[in-house]
Formats: sequence, structure tokens, C-alpha cells
Amino acid sequence: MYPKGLCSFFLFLLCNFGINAQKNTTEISFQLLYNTVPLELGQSYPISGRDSLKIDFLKFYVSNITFFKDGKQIGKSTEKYHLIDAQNSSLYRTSYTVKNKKFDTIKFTIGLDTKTQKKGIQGGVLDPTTRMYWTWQNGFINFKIEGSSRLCNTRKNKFQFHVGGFQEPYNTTQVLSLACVASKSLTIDVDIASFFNVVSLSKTNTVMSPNKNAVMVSKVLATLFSIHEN
Amino acid sequence: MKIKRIIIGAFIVLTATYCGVKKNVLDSPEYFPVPHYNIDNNPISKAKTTLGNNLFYDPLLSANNSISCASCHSPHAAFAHTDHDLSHGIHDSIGTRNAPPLFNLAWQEHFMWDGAIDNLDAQALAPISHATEMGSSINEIVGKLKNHPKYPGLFNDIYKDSLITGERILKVLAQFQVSLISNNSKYDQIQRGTATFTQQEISGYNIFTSNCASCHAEPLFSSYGFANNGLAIDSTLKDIGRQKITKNPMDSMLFKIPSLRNLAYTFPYMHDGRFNTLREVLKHYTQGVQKSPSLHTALKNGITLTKKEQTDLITFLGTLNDRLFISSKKHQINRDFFIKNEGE
Repeated sequence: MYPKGLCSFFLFLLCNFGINAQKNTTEISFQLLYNTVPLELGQSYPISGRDSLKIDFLKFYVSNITFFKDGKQIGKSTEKYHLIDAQNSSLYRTSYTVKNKKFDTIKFTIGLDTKTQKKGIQGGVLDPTTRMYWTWQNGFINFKIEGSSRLCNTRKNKFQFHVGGFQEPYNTTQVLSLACVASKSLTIDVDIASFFNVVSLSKTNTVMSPNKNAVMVSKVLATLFSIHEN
Repeated sequence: MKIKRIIIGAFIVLTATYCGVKKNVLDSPEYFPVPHYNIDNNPISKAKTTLGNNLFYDPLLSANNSISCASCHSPHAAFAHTDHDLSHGIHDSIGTRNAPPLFNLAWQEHFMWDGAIDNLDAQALAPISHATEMGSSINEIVGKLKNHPKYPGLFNDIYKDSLITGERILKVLAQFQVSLISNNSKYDQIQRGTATFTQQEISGYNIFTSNCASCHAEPLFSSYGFANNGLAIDSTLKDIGRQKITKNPMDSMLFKIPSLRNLAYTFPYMHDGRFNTLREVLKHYTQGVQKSPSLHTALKNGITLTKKEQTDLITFLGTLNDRLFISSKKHQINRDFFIKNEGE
């Protein structure tokens, strides 16, 4: 009887703690867009006047989401790695507990940091069955986009961007800091259309290994991210 | 008093277990360096090694169930592909390199002739996915294993659930490969004080230490780094080696330095299997080295060896052959596992 009561007491404390924690929860969503409209795989999108493109595959890692106030880190996500996959949904939601919630900046890595890359084979969203681990060389692909467009002078007009590489001078891991107003719910838009406005598919359509092009593309990809409160 | 005795007893048991675990981490001799492979990420167990062994010999890993890892890495050849200059894979396709032997892998940081991969767990993805090797994918293998009559049970024995993931497959494969330790050659017996060199072997050993040891360092007989050993580029393969990975011109024609252990079983030699005999290899080092900016410094002034010195050196290299390793039953195919499959 006595232990049962004690258990209930702890359960009560735990619930209380849970409620408190919830008050400080910030939900962050990643919204995949194409020209401000939710991205759809397989959909034909017009590009540069008469041409069009289709995206068949889009996956990327976001990791180490941290919260800053006046340049000081005040919170960190417990979930270290996120694999955002357009196949699942154009909207990816994740939430964090940030004490006091008064952050002014969110910082995150697009891709995976060197330590994770070097650790090699891991499980969960890092499992090699996600098709995000290179098969012929080291490390993970940070950002993968595949599709087709007549602009590509390639077999079946395919474009393939497997953007990865963590060893200098071809480090494609980008760290992004976005200023924001602290709120319970924030959305990070990732508008893919901007990518094809910068990267000309007739010139650059196949990036499959860590090289200069991969670094250039990774920098363009980092510009696609913008944040707003809901 | 009784409690004290129990505590002491428990302490002894725990210490013994700890030491036992320590000892079982990798069964390697004292004169071997600290291994590079991080066992903490893949704790060693007999069940994992056995399962890894089954996967290693299972042609299910290839797209049409025809090629296993052992097709190119045969135990009797110290897990190399004896008698093939270039290894062949699925649909009789011919690859571009000579399959290297597999032993003492835990002491190696880089894999593949050009060091494309520096993680043993990840290495198997390359042959699994390569169109001219196994032509499959880790996803395809996960699917096949899930529907297999035996594998889910074996994964369950290890992980306490029958979930089959890419990570688990690769880690058990790595575990089997890590267990391939070659440390029973005559050289090893000499290190342990149970054998002695002959006069000719001593002469060969001295030639080895002054000419070869900078790249083929004891006791593994390789630094497992990379070097351009002065081979002319093969005009049909146009393989530039490490430069393909680093894009650095100074890495042109650099290949991973192979171990000199088990040479009797691993011919032909070099990344493209161009030399069939050790005589040919020594002819290259004494007469055939091509000068280039990336040539290894130890070869810049050339190596001069008389015929007798070459014979002595080859005799010494014979002391690095590990017959126990290539004949060890525990590294070979578990026939029961496969024979019973056929009946099912």
C-alpha cells in the first residue's frame, strides 16, 4: 500500500513536470516549397520560359538545432538528427523544450557534422537503407535531389545532385544561423525553386562526389532556408 | 561476514568477467599495436561473428544470388582472389582492381586500393552496390533477409528483436572481418620465442629492414598508408589511384600499401594484379620503378639487390605466410547453415 502511494506521488510530480515542460515547447517545422506552394514530387514545374522540370527525390539532413539569445546558446535539441524526406510529406515537424523561450536566433547544420560523418554506419535516420550513405566512398550525402528536365543533356534528361563530402577542401556541410522572434511555433521554409534559379540545369546537372561543384551547390542550398513565426 | 564474502566473491567474478571481456575484444598478440577499429561501436560477440560469417559466404548478398563476399575473398587465399589479376563479379563482369586479402583489418584505417572508404563497417556497401561486383543494394538485402527462414531468428538471438536493419547487417559483417586475424606465421612464432630464423632468413630480414620496412612496417608488414611505388600507369585501366579520391595531383598513382603477410597465397600482386611472382615484383623495384613527382621518397634513389639478396629476401618473406590462418575452420563456410537451407 505504502509503495503504491509513493509511486502515485512520483507520478504526480512527473505529470507536473511534463506540463511545465510543455509550456516551454517550441515547435519547428520545415516546409518544402516550390515557388511558395508546397512541393510535390513528380509534378511538372515551369522553368526559364518554355522548359519544365520534375523532382522525383528530395531528402536532406538537418542536425544540431540550437537556440541562441544575444549570441549565447540557451537551448539545444535533444533529437540530434533529422532526415527530411519529400516522399513522406512536404511538412516536417519537430518540437523542443527551450527554457524561457526568449531566443533570438536558431542555428542548425544542413547535413551532418564531421564527427557524425566519421563515425560511419549508424542506425535510425542514419541507417544506410535511407540511401543517404555513399556506397563507394566515405560518409553521408547531406542533401540529395533527383529529377529530370529537358534542359539536362544527360541520359533520360536526369539531374542528380548528391551533395556530400566533409573533408577539406570539399566540405559541403553548411551551418546556418537564422534570426527569428521567439514563439511557440516557427516554420523554416525551404523553397526549392530558388535553387533552379541559381543553378542552371543545362550547365550543372550531375554532382555525385565531393568536389568544387558540390561545395558551390551546398552554398546555394543554404540560401533556400528562411524562417518565420506562425 | 557472509555479506563481506559475497561482496568479495562478486568483485572477483566481475573482475574476471571484465578481464575476460578485455581479452576477447580482439584476439591479438602483445606485439601488435593498438587496433584502429572502434569495438565500442560494435561490441564483439561470438553470435555476431557467426552470423557475419554466414552473411559473408551467402550469395544472397548479390542481385541474382550468385556472388558472395567469398567469391573474391577466398579463405584459402588469405581472403584474396588468387590467380585473378582483376576480380570478377556478377554476370561475369570484370572489375578494375585485384581483390585485396582480408586479415588484420582492425589495424587498418583506410580501405580499398585508393582509400575511398575509411570505415570498415561501411566498406561492404561498396561491393554490394557496385554494378560489376554484387549489383545489389543494402535495401534489397534487408528485404531478402527479412523473408529468409533463418536470418530473422539469428538477428533476434543477438539483438533481442528480429529487426533487420542496414546498420545491423553491416556491423555483423564487419565483426566477422575483424575476427580474421593472421598472427601465426613463423615470424609470429619467433616473436613468441617458439621458433628461430635460419641464417638465410636472417639475411633476408636484414635486407627487408633496410629496403622495405619504411612502407611495410612490422609487425603488420604495412604502415597501411599510401604510396606511389613507381608502377607505370596501365593504359587499359588508366587507374590513377588515390588522386581519384583526393583530387590532389601529388596523390597520382598512390595506392594503399599492402601487407607482406601471406604473399604465398595472394598472388598476383599489385592493385591490378600485374605481377604473378615475387621475382617479378623485385624486378620492378630494382629495375622498373618509374620516376614521377609523387614517387615515394624511399624509392627515389632506387633499390639495388643482387640475385642472392633477392633470394634471401623472398626466403624471409616466406616466414610471413600463415598456414594456420588460411586453414582455420572458424573462418571457413559453415556448411550446415547452407545445406539445411536447401532442404527448406
